[in-house]
Amino acid sequence: MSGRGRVHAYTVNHQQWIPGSEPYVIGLVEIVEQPDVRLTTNLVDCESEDGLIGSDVEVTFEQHDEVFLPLFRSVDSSKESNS
Amino acid sequence: MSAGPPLERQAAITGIGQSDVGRRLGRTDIDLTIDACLDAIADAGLTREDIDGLATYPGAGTGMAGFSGPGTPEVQDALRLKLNWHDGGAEGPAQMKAVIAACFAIAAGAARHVLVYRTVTESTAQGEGGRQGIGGIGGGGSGGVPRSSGFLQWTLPFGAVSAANWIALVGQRRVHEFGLTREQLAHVALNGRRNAALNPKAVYRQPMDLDDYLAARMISSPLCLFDCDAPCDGSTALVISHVDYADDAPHPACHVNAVGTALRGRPSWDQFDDMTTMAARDAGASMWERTDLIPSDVDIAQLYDGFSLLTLVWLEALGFCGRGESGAFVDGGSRIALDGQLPLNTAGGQLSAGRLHGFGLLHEACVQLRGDGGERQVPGRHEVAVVANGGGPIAGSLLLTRGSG
Repeated sequence: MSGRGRVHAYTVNHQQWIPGSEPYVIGLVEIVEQPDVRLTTNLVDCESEDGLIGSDVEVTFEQHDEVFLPLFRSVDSSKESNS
Repeated sequence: MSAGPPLERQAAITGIGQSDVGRRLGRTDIDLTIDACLDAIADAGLTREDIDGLATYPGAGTGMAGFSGPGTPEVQDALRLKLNWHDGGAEGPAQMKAVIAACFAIAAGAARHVLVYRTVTESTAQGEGGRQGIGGIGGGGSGGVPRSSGFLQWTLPFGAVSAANWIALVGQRRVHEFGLTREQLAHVALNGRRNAALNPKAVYRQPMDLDDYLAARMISSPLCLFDCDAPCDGSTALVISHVDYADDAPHPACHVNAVGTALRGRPSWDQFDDMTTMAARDAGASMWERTDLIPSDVDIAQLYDGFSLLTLVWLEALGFCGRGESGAFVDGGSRIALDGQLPLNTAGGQLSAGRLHGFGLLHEACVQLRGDGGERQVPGRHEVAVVANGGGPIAGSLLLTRGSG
């Protein structure tokens, strides 16, 4: 798998399910290899909500001991030769 | 298809009852349940000896504190019922599952008068224990990534901990595809609050306007505080009887015309084929497949509003408007007002009257069909009502018609 995906939906969570937590972005990401399979995940390093749905993202893993969480960040389209 | 009318038409709601409803009543679930059940039995013109069936959703011990209410064994014992049929459980067409199972039990001859109830004490439970905390999201807690099972194992590590988050994803997708606005969504909540002012049992009755709504704190965009229902304490009960008792009941019976039970898409919050809708789409479609009535025959709609967005999903699922059109349908609020084309959630819904978890909506549908709504009675025709329960992968609906009586 390429680790690439596309944002199908997102929400900015403000509710402090854990007291003191900052707002964070929950994303629903389609896997490019099979778009009807989606991951509920976090979108990190996204600069703006504008155009976020439909935008291309790539996986970045966050390690917690032996567990690696698949998070996604925007693909900088200027670095892409063809997409 | 088999010959003859759908079997649910062998059933009619002949009695309705409700306990006190409120915030932090400090009473036990069985105490409230007994009040509602005795109320419903008397309302049906029956005694405990007549009741030979018992059903509830979701059954004892399900969910967080205050969610499930007492199970059927506890209620059977407390009321000393002699039962031919009984059922309690959570899997099925949402909260409506208990009602639909009762209809089919009656049609099958397994019971004649089924008592169906749903009880919540979530407000008191939250007051006693505080809202249950969720630790360790995304590795933020001392224990690292939380370990969980079922659907939550895929969402909890990312802080998508609540139905508010999962439904918000659908909401934001609707913003993207259909141009849904917060101003449109607001009208589900504002309509509920306006109607709640005419419901003495409603938990939130003070006026609310669009500015109040827009100023509320955000929970998970695009859902704000007023898009989320209000936990409460209360019990609702119904007596569902064989239709041959309907004309003998003291009040006009609410005949079951059709049930909506289908689930054709994937049973998932985030893998459904169309992420602007939910299982409601399938349940709604299947209901209309079982009747000659059509959406424009409906006089009163009681559509699940555990979150305001779910009501929009149901409006489309039940064919009151096209896909993506529900925002425009509710915009301005006049179409869904008491004197509108489709009076909606006439007792205030769960957003303002309290989260009786689907059964408050069902109770109100019967009140309106009977013409007993008092100040909030819809003017004019009140012959056909639709009730819808559930969100995400669970959904069930019921089409009711007013009997002569």
